[in-house]
Amino acid sequence: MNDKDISGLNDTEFDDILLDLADAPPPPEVSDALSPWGNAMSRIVWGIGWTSITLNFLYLDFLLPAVGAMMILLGFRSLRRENRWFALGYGCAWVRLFWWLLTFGIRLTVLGGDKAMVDFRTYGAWVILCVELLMLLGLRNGIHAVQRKAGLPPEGGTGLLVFKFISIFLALIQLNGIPALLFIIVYILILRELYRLSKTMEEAGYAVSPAPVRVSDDAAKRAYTAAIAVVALVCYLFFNQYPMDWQALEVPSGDAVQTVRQELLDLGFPEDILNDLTEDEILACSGADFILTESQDHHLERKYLISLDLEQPENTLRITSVGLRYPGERESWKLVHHFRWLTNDGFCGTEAIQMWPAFESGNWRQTGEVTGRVLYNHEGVSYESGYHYLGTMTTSGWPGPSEDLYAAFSLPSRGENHRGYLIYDTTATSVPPASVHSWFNYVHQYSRLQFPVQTAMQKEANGSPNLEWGFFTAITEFQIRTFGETPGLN
Amino acid sequence: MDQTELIRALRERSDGSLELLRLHYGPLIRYIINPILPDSRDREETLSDVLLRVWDKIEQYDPSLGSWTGWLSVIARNAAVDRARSLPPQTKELTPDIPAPHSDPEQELLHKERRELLYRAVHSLPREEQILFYRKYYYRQSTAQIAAECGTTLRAIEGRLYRIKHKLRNKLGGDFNE
Repeated sequence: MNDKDISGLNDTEFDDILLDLADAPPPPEVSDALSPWGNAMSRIVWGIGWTSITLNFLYLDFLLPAVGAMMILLGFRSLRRENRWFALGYGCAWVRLFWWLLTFGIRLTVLGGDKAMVDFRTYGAWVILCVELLMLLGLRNGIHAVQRKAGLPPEGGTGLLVFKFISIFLALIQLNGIPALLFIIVYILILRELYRLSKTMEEAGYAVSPAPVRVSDDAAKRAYTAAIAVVALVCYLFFNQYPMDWQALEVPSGDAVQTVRQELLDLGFPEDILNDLTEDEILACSGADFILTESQDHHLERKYLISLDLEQPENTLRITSVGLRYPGERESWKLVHHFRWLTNDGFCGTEAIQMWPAFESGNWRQTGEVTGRVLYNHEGVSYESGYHYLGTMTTSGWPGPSEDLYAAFSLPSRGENHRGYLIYDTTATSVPPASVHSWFNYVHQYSRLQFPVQTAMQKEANGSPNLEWGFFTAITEFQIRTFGETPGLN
Repeated sequence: MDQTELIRALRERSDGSLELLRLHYGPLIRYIINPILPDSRDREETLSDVLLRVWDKIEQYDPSLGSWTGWLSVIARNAAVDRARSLPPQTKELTPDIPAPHSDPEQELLHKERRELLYRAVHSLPREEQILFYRKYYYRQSTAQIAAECGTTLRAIEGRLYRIKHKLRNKLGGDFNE
């Protein structure tokens, strides 16, 4: 060989030298790493393993499906041109990935708890299960096609389909008392089948020709991570509050309204609360012969807030309850529960009211609908909106589930004097009437950072503890002692 | 088929063991041969040659020195390279740097020394770069094949190979001239 300076060789010449000199066998770790199918199969196998189980701690219910979906996609991407079955698996992997991103986004919004969205996710989940079965079928048949191409008998993969069917069946029948052990056993069997499947490729896999890619695996992973971040940012910023229908407040006028207003003011009805009622609600208050009022201020503190030298933001919520008595054969009361934010450091999500009205007990019955609205002022203008949701919902908790009344809404951070109320009528079922007990619990969300996003109403309906991160609940009971000469507060 | 059983059958010269070797490890052997030999007839003849070499050298296989597939891949690669070298050469301008096919003992010694230098340099590279080097220069796989199997773009592999060669040039630099 010529002793030409190596630095003077051009690329082709240096290549020729390397080709000539590189004839010693590589170390075992290098020759063992040589396989056209290794990367693809290990990604598919790991991806299926991680997405076949749900672990509800350390955010693994988010991390495992997120990573698993991408691994499956990258695995099938390499094999997509090998045969039509792998191409089918590739298409199914895309559908799964898209579905995961979609449901991830939904879980970051307040829409996640809406019935329509829950139904959508439920039906979608069944569709995705079918897609998963198609994907496994594509994997099995794709491997069989490779084995035939390599001149080997097709084998493997059927057990994986069988165990997947079993796990779906168990989820479908939803029998109470299915031991967790059974699910674990099925999962272990799935993992075993995945391992056996990967072993069947050890001989036939050399016949695979991976497809070229225009976007490298690393670039694809970065793009996927960026997509997750964008979805999270968009959802947190723009879909974290209920859409409310804010309209300029119309001040009730007319002689009849003014007459009733004066009657109520003479009885002691708080004027600032009276100003918030609608014309119909004011007129419906006519005829009361007695009014009781009770106010309570709640100072809300964020959990885990370290005060040090920082001034703790003031969040003061005033809840005022007003009871109007109506005489008659059976005593009736109209109850107004009113809240007003005296000070606050902004609203970042959803609010909720959970009410246990007097008519929940057997001593009083409901007469008429529960009504109410929310209001705020901004630049000299008052705005009002109905609640996003006003109705009953099942609440979990001790001693058992109950149907409670809920109002769900969002308040804008702009403006001041954020307030609202609920108003209802109730009539005694006995003579003399029993005491009136009406509970008004206000749930305030103080942090946007939560995953999955839970609305204030969901938090309360799930029976979560009072001081759960991100929420605070102010509990108020309005008790009216109805016996005696004049009613009073307990 | 169990690998241990096949090796035993080959050592015992059992009937059908060679056919089983072709059936179960034919894909691996073809995978090694195909990048080196473009012609399908050459590939088939080399496949048969590899099977015979395995039959002849089965006693030399030592599991403690490496895996069965690694051993097979070396035999297949060497058979393919031998076949490629025995083919009529394509028209190519000879330069002083292209090694002569038959060297004298002095040249062979120099060749051996340079090979050792090269492998010392290669083994100082990170594992991923070593794998790339062997794929390209030992197994003679195309850049496109390497890119597809590694799940990256052609350009990325070309870039990485360029950087590997640059490192090797720097490491080998003066030593090659001694």
